[in-house]
Amino acid sequence: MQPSSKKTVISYLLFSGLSTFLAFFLPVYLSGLLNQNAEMRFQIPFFAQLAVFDLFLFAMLYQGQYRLKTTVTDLGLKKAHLWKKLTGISFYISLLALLVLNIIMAGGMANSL
Amino acid sequence: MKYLEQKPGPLWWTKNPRYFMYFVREINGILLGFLAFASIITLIAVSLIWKYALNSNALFIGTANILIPVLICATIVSSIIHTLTWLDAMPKILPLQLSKNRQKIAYVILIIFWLGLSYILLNIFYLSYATVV
Repeated sequence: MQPSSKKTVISYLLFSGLSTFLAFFLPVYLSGLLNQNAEMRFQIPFFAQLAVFDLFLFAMLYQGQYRLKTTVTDLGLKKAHLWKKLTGISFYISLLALLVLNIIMAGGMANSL
Repeated sequence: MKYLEQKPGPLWWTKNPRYFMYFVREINGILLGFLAFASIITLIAVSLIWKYALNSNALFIGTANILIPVLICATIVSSIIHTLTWLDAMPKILPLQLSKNRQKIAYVILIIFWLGLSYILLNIFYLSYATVV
């Protein structure tokens, strides 16, 4: 067995932590978002809502790219390293898109104040 | 000795139900990531179009009103599959060596805990579902 590097251990722990978080909280969060008739019991500040929304999207993106990398390895594809690099790049592009979305939403909120 | 090396074909995981389930879990996780990406892109597009061009266009409003709930519904289905498969995997990947029966019991307990937690959270954050007239 090869000794695991520190980076591998940290990314695995992050992956399993985020997957557990998503498993327990994502369905209930989405069902709350979907139900238009439900009324919130108390007012939650906009930036707290945005932070929670970002956390869920980050967790979904992170576990998606981690699983895509492991699946590429498991399938035994010929150019696995290239696929892994592409996955990593697309993950960072997604994070950039998330940042853009945050700027748009925060800007929209600031304009409406 | 390289000529003795056996390389599995790309569909090796379809031959055993355990490997198949493992791949269902992984592919669903990848799908969840894609849905997150699609949601980000859709929200950016909707907010930009809304702001600069078509905020009075009925077709655009109709499309946005259908597209976003469809995305949320697809993500809910995918997230429920993720929950069921991940909670099934959790007792197996823990460092504790549990027997198969105990793994099944742990799975049932985790599912009950998840359902209870979801019910409590919905009651904490939302009022009872009233119909808006």
